[in-house]
Amino acid sequence: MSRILEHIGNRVLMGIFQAFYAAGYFWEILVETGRFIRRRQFGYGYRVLLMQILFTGVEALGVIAIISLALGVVIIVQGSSILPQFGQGKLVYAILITIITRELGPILTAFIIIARSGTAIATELGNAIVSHEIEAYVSFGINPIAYLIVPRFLGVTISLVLLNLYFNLFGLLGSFLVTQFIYPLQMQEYLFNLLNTLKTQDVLSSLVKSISFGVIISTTATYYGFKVERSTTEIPQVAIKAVGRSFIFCILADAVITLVYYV
Amino acid sequence: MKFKIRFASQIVGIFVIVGVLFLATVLVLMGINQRWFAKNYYFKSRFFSANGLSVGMPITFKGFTIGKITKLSLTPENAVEVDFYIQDTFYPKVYENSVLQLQSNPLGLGGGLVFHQGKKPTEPLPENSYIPSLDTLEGKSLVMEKLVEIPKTEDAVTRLLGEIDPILENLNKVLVSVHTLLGTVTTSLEGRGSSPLAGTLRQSEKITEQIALTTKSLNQSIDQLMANATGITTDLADITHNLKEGTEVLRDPTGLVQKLLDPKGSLATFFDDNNRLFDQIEGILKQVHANLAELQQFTSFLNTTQPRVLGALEEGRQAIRKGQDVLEGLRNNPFLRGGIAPKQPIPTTQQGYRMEEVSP
Repeated sequence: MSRILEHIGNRVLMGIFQAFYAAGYFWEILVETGRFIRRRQFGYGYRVLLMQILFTGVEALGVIAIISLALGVVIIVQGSSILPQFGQGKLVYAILITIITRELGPILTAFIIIARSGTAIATELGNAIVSHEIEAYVSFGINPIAYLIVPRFLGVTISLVLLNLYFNLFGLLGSFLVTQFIYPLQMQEYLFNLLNTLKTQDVLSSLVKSISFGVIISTTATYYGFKVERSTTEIPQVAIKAVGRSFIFCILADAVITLVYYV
Repeated sequence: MKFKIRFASQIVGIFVIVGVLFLATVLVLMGINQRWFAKNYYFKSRFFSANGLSVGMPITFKGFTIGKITKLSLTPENAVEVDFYIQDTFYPKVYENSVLQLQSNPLGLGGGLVFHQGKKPTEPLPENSYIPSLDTLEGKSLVMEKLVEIPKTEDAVTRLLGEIDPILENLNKVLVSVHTLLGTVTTSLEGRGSSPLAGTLRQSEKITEQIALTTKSLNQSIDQLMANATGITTDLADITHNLKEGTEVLRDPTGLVQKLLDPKGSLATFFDDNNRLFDQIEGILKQVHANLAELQQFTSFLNTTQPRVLGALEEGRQAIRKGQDVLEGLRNNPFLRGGIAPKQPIPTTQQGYRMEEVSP
């Protein structure tokens, strides 16, 4: 009995310690990010940031475009054919904005980034630890968080925000162009109604979500990447953990932001 | 070096610029479309109740949205104060004597806050002016004075409901009439009330009672008469018998002559019996006379009673005919008992086997 209690107590203490450790780690990232932006030394870590945006943002654009286009086309075609039967034809714009801009846009983009970049970042950092690269950076006086983590943190966050914007671009406008082949609608009417339905809160909610997801994914992936200690067998384990936790945190954050938006 | 890596900066630059441009364009278009930078002119109005009003509710003029409600508040006098704005493009249409009307739809379709322009074109009202609503006396007086025209609502549902109302009222009246009629018919059938049918039924009931009484008294009279007639008939039979016997005695000449001529015979006896026979004959004759008088009296009684009996029978016959008419009328009335009962076909035994299969 006492051993069970001891075990539970140790787990709780470990959990609290890890939470504080993660909070300290996140604070360190924020501090270093502030320094990174203030220094404006684009040579120092700039290339890493650029590459991160290229890999995370530009390379994921194709997948995002296809998903958002398909989703938008389905919503427009289904909405334009079904909703007018109930006298609610204009509801298609509200549905488009709710799904593309406010809900599915940010979360689907986040899922794609988790699947592509979250695993990549965790694996890359794990390999760097195993190959003693981090020790080399430290020995040269380079802060690994400033050099390795901040560009990834910024790169993933910026990429996620931009990909979310592209998701909206393809989902709202690209899907309209595709729909013209199936279900012709008037461009002026479509844009007028869409812009009338789109509220500032929708745009803000979408941006807040994508920024939050970017922060969550980058922090979680780098945190678990740094959790590797010495063996290469740890790398896939931390990658899996990074992906799983990122999914959970993103969904929780999405729920909280949506609640805040409606409350 | 790979193209992507070589021109990473350019690619990322384009990626970022297009995304930011898209966001900026959307924000600018939203601003233009939703009039973020346009001037609004604010006004006030008052309503009796806030029911049907809400912040953000559009104000329409001839179907165009010209403004929105910005605030609703309750004044110390328990009136609902409404703050709203009119868009700059529609501001010149805010003439003096304009009013606001809250149009409601029972089904929740259509309706809204409608702006009615004052009839006489004037300079637009200054900002923060008071525009009365039709809930207020000021608004109603403006309409009464014909300073503002309120067009009839073109809402199809409201119009339809307006047309249904009189139909429902008429239907209600018909139902009330039917209910009253059924009540009257029931009362009449029960023999109560003052309707002609109830009177007829009561009268027929009385007539029936009178017929029964008359028939009873008539039966009694007939019984008495028959008893009298029987007595008279018996007397007449006795007389006839006596006469027959007398005739037979008279037929025998020897016997009669002998008896008549014999000093002890009947004739001598007749003459020497101190008028005994004569008295007897006289008594018989008197009795006959009395019987004849009684017969004459009975005959005259029969003659006097006959018209009354005939009258009573005629009256009874008419009463039965009337009753028959009334019952036929009641039977034909569709409001009672589900109308005329269907007639059941009476099967005949003289039908062939194939007839049932052919007949419908």
